[in-house]
Amino acid sequence: MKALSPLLAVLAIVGFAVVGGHTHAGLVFLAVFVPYAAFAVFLVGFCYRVARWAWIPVPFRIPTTCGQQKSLPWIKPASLDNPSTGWGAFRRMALEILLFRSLFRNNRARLHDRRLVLGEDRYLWLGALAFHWSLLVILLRHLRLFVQPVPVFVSVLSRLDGAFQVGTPALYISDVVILGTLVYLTARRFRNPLARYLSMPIDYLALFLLLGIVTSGLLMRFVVRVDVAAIKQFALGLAVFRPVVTSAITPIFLVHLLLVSALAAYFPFSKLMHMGGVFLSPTRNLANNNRSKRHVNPWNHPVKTHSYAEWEDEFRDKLKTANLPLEAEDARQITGH
Amino acid sequence: MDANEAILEQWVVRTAESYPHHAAALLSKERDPFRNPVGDTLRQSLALLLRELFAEMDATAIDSALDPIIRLQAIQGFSSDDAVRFVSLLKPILRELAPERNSAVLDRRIDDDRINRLAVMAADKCTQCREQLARIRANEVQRANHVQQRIRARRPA
Amino acid sequence: MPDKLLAIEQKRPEGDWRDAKVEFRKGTICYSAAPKNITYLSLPNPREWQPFDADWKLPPNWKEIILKGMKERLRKYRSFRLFMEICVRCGACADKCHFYVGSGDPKNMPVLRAELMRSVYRRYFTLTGRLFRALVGARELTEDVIKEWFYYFYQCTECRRCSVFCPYGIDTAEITMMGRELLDLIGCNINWVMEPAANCFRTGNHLGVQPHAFQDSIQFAADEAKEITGLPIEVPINRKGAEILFVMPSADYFGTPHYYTLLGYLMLFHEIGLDYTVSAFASEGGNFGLFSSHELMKRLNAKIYEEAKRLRVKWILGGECGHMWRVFHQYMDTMNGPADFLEPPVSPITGTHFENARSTRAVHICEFTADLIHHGKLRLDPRRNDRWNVTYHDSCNPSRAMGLLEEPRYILKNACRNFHEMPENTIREQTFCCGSGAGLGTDENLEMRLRGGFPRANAVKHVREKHGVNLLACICAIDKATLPTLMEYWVPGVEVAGVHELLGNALVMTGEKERTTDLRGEPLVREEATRE
Repeated sequence: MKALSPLLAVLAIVGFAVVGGHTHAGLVFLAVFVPYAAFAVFLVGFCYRVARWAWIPVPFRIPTTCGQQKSLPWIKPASLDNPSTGWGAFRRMALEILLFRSLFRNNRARLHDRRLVLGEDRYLWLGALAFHWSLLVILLRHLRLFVQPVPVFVSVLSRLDGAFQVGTPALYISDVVILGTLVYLTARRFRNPLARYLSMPIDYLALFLLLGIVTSGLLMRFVVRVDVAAIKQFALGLAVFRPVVTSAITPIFLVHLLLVSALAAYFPFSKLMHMGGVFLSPTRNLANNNRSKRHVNPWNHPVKTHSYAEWEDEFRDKLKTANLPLEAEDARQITGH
Repeated sequence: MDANEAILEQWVVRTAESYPHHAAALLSKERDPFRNPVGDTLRQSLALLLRELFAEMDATAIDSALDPIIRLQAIQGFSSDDAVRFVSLLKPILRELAPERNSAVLDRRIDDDRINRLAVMAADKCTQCREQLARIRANEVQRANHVQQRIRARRPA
Repeated sequence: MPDKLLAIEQKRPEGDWRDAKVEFRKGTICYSAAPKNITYLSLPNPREWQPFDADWKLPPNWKEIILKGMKERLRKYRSFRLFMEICVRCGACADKCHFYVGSGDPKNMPVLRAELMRSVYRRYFTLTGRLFRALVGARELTEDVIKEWFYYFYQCTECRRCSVFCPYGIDTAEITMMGRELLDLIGCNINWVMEPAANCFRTGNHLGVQPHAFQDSIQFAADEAKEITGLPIEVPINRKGAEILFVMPSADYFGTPHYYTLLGYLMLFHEIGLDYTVSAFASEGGNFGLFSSHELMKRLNAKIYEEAKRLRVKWILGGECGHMWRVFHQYMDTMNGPADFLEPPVSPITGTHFENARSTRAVHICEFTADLIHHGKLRLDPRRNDRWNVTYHDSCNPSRAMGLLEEPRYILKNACRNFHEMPENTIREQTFCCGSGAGLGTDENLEMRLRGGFPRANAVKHVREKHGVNLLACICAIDKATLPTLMEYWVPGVEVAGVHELLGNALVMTGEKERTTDLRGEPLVREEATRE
């Protein structure tokens, strides 16, 4: 039942879009004001959150080392999983961000079945990776709506993405993948007993919003067709801050737009900030060169210690009995001479 | 899934369900012996025990099958009764599943008596494990002070 | 029938993790810190109490203290704030914790252990948490939550295994460390951490061994090494002007099987004629401050550099100890450095520059010895270890906070003839904790330790059954103290040894007498050509 409130929230947004678009004022509010506001919240919020992290010091160098360290010259270090240089840490981060290295690490012993089994967690890696990549491709493809003339890489990307040429309009691979992976990721939260136990309502919210966005997008392309040229006109208007509300704004488009706005506005308040946070994670983005290069803690304040002199004072008799050399006594002998 | 497997599966699941903290989800599902060693141990022990129940009730075989599972039960915070309750969980499972099983297995007369005997053996084993816990506690303390003890033994003050 | 079965299998844990009530049972918790230890360390709220008491005698403004403490730490540690904010609860970490795997308690899933703190963070430090509470997983900070924190943050060994699998590198050890720091502020800590820490602060080592007793133990070990080898082995203590300060965990001169490792070190140092000293002041490399707070860690660690400076040594050599190396490698230089009074370490025997330690100026004994063996400076007779069929347990800290994986294996493979690895997902960076680290290795906590150590033991059992392994080698003092217990219960017939014990056995020393026993005093058995 944890999924109920987020589901209702998403349905409410859809309802708003459908009902609110009937009057001109409503249309202006939902198609112009809300996207601007949402985008502003997103930008400000995202930057604020990242900047706040970046401003907090990293007092200690605490990389999680996932392979052999660089020590003796004849031992081969794991330069990606346990980097000893900044460049190595950069490559480790690249691997983490582009290929989800750590998630891939979920190996599984295969003693029981004696056959190669792709474990559920490899599916998680595959699902997560495919989802994020197709999301990126889709976002880039959408650039053609906001930029005139359309940048070459966007056209090329769209052509590649639609390379299978199934039906008209072409079915994009990324659309299929993102829908599939979203369904998988959502189903996993429901079906995997552990994932279900630890999921909270907000975990479903992001998934439902994304599912709504993808579904409405696909509907616009294949079922309730919209006038793409007119939408581009509208989007261009938004982009140059001269929005024109046109008849292209059909309810389905408004649903799509409003869900995207909701996601954008919600983004900085949510776990979706992992997008920015992953770059700053001190267990991943630091080189394991702790002993060769001193890491400075900006707030390294002094602490109360028990000094050698105090220690010697306390145990003087015992040190004497044991015939261990004494500092203070040495000093007395020197002055005695 | 043949009948024996079905019985075993039920036994594993119900044993896992008796664990505190709703652990059944992990214990009964994950099959990787290194990711889920508890579940794997339960499964292996119970499989062996089931085989013995259907067969000769060989005391040595039962003892070695009981050992791993009782060792687990003994440290999971169960009372002595609860620690061996998994044995009697088998009774209702057999009652439930027996009619669907082929008669050949039924003929082996897996009756409550055998299960009761197993329960007694399990209880004995559990007592042994608990006693061992006290022993290994003492051994650990002894190891921790090993050098001092030897110094004292060698050089009386 | 199978349908019904599936329905049961799919059954998820019931209930809601946000319910904070925990049951404190003897055998699965550590007892509270004695007031005298808290007082000695000048920490807050010393008092008599126990976790199973209803009233924990918290200070009246405990809530304010905790929230203030959180606020301060959120500003000082990026890791803390980041790890409070970016978890997506994907569950990749869920079955990576040895306590979860061994007990099935869902709050031991790393994600939930962290959520115990995150829920409070959200409630008091985020807008959405203040507004939407339960919907975003925010919880009120109540006394029950404090008790729950105590229960679960002292049920984490800070082993960092979950962090290996997390796509954002979220490290539960960081969260547990913060949790324990916060609990310290209101006087909720355990004796097995605070007593060693108080001892260490006073005497220089966890066991509270005073200088004369320290000398006694070291002398005893030197005498025994003499007896075994027939060589005049001496151990300098507090000697000024030595080239190297050797620091080890105090258990090495107090308990077994640690002690045999100490014999191994002493024999090695004698054989290569090392110019070194041990110190009765820096008589502990381990640092239970790490299990309490960053501040206490720094306070206890300060003596290492102080003593190295006083003794005017050139560099520091560190013995076999897991969390000592976490501190030496990741904290010491930052906290108490720069060590500009020392010199970048160079092996006096091989001339190797330990480039990887040129700032901290502390070298791990396994790096040092592996270098010696590689340069052919040691004569080894691995047949002397023939009675052992060895596997190697990577200790958490050297593997996941350092990456010291090959050096000990290299030594083992040169010192023994029978070596078998445990399964891949239980060693190296994926190694399973002994279940007793981070201050949990006390006897009152035995049952919990046996649960947490079960995944490790299970992997040992596997190689015992498959290859007849009978010795578990490791390089950590806590391992050496607690793995024997684990083995005794789960895998009888497997003993535990330090890497340098095996090296000491195999080491052929110049002018030594014919060895009749190994370092444990057991007769040497050579199985000539019986094993490949």
